[in-house]
Amino acid sequence: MKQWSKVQVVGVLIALFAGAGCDGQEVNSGSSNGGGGGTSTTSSGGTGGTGGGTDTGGTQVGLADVLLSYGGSSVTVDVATLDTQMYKGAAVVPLTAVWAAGKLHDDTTTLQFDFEGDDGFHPSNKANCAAYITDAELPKGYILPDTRTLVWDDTLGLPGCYSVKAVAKIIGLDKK
Amino acid sequence: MRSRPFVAAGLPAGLARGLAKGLAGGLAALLGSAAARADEPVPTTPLEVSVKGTRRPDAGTVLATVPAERIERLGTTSVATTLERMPSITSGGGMRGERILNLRGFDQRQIAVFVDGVPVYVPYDGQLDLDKVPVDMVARVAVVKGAASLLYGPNGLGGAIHIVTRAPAEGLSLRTFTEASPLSAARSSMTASGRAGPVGALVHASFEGVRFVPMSESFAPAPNEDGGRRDNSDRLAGNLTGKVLWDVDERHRIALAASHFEGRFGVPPAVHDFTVRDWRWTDWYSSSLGLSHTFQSPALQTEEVVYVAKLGNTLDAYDDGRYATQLKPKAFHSIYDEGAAGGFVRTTATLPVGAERTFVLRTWTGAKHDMHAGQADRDADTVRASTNLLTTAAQGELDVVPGWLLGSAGLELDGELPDAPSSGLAPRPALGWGPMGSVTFTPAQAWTITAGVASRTRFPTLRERFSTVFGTRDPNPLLRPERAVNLSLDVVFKPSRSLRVAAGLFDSELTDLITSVFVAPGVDQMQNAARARYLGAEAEIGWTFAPWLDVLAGWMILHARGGDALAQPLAYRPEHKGLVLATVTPLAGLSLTGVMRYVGRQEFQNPDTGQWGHLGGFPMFDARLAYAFSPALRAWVRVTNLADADVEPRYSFPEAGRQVFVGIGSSTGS
Repeated sequence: MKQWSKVQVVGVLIALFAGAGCDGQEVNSGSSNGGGGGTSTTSSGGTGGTGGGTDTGGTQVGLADVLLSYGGSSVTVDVATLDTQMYKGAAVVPLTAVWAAGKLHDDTTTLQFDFEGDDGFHPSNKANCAAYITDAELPKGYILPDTRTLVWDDTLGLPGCYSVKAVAKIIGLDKK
Repeated sequence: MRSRPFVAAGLPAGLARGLAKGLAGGLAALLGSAAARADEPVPTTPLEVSVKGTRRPDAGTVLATVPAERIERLGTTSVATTLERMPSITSGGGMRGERILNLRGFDQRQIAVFVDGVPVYVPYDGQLDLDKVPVDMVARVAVVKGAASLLYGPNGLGGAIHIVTRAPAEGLSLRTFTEASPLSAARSSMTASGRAGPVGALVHASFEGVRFVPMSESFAPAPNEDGGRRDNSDRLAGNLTGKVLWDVDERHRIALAASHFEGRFGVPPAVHDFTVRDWRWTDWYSSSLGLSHTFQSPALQTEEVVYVAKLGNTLDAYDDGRYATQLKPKAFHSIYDEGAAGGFVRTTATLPVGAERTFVLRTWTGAKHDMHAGQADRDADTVRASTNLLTTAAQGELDVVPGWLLGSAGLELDGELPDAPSSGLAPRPALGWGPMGSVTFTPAQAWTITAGVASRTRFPTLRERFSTVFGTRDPNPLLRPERAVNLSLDVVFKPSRSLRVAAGLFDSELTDLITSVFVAPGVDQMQNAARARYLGAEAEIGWTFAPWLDVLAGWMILHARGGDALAQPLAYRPEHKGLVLATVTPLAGLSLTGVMRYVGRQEFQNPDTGQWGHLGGFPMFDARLAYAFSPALRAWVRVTNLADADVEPRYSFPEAGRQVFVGIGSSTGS
């Protein structure tokens, strides 16, 4: 059997350790935003990026329709048809654009807003999120068109209960 | 057992022995390691105890031990990072800045963690961030998995982690350790110990300061992190530990130990998440005090321990990354105040059966009281909760055919008596029982085959029962224990002192798992509503190839599934985990150690959208070059993440980039 010198063995070990260096890591982020170095923006695990399909353990991801309501009127808006802008690397639709698309009540300065998820959740039901979103805050809110998840600008400092997943309804309310 | 001359300064010998025996009924120790004689093997887990000089069979992959010597070669600085260098354990960062472990699929709440025999966890959460526990004082860490044994107290659904700290050595000794990464981090510790006759003492102090953690150069700027220095990654911590032991005579030892750990820690934000958490642990502390007595004779060993512990922390959420104001709705000031008190008695009795056989009976009986007082914010009500755990277990071992077939069987009974809260529904007492059995077959001197089965339970944590999560969760005081049946089959081949090969299969089926269940819009509740199965294999090889080359390698394959049909993936359970540790000693005193970890592909759920995604596998490389100038003085250079890889073991929480540390250490005395 061939005898290996210390130098040969050390050289082989160093080569084994050094040869498998990794430039980055594949991250399929399951979201519309980027996922880090070497990432792709497709979701996996059986979830749909846009359109139909259900994920395996999270929020129901359905169509991109959101119901807007004000007073006794309501209208459905397909947020996927609206122009997007980038926020934190994700394509989002400004909530002001969603509301404007409904043409229910153009003057948002007289309004405040509540939201309802597919499961009936309202942030206003929670003590931390009891206050409705104001007209001043609305321009800093966005919706992800593929999941209908609400996203808020960091500068608002809103707690997580305002980040409603699978928004089904945006409700405009007259200010008191 | 070696005879030991008795010396008790100032006390007549008979009086001293009488005092010791009087204390035997009620004393307890915080330190299992202090109870060990410095010149005898230290019993840490039931599987490691030697009985009547007969070497216990090698348990295979179900028991893994990391001694201090290997910890030094690994160069790790916390218990969590040390354990991650094992094939069956994974971890990663999270939104609270903690490194919570996962053992063969079981999360850390389902693993019992002990320091010198005393259970260690934050009572409310059911787990303790072991990345905050420094490794300087650790003599060894033992990991007991699944079906291995049940003699370590309650709540070890998937196993147990035993951390054994250093004991006073013979004579006087002083150990120092100082290490720094230029401009970013520094650590230092000192351990002084000594023994004079029957009395020994040890004092340990350590300090850690981290200004920042560097990110990989490959990291691409993300929404919440632009790279370079990881935001909010600073740490400042210190530890002070003292131990005193007294060998009353050759059979009795009394030990007292106290420890205090305190620190403040930044919580690096998730790099991708839309919701940014600007959090800091403004205060984090853990204090403990314990008393023990041990008795050793050829046929009977006993250990009695009583302890008290106090833990607390303050978690502050700030308005933004300046960490200066708390005016916005997302800000809060949360305070935990926790306490625990308890004790246990452990016995090992060796009984001859006939001329050649030996029956060993081991028992463990203990009780624990956990309490929690927490305030979610400055004006919030204080939530108080407490519970009591009682456990008794017995395990018998018989060498059915001496030297060839060893059988073991046992039973553990657990009871929980939760205290009624100040308001709301009172939780019900719960019982759990866990039978265990194993058979070890030694067909030849070099071969050992062990098959085992054990049923375990885990009682709900106080958080799982009572937390309301800022009004988004309904409490559920009526939660029942989780249950698991763990099966294992291990084969060990050890043809020589320099080579050990072990391979094992494991299958754990979990029922009544506590999980979040939707109960009303925006409201969930923790319920016993889930199932899981962790099926896998693990292999390890330890080979001293030559006096100058030592290799340790291991690999785990894990198939983790949940859901009613056990068909759904589970988050953060990598399909593969591997480790290679190689040390080359080309010259006397000079050693080069390389460590490669591989974490395989794993699933995760995006916290913003709820969608599932996956994280690809990745290797990580560390290296350490050390030189011992003399037996008393050594120096080293170590590099972590040698390839400066940009990886995320947890989605949105990247690992540190390449770091270089330079260190020097000394050991004087014995």
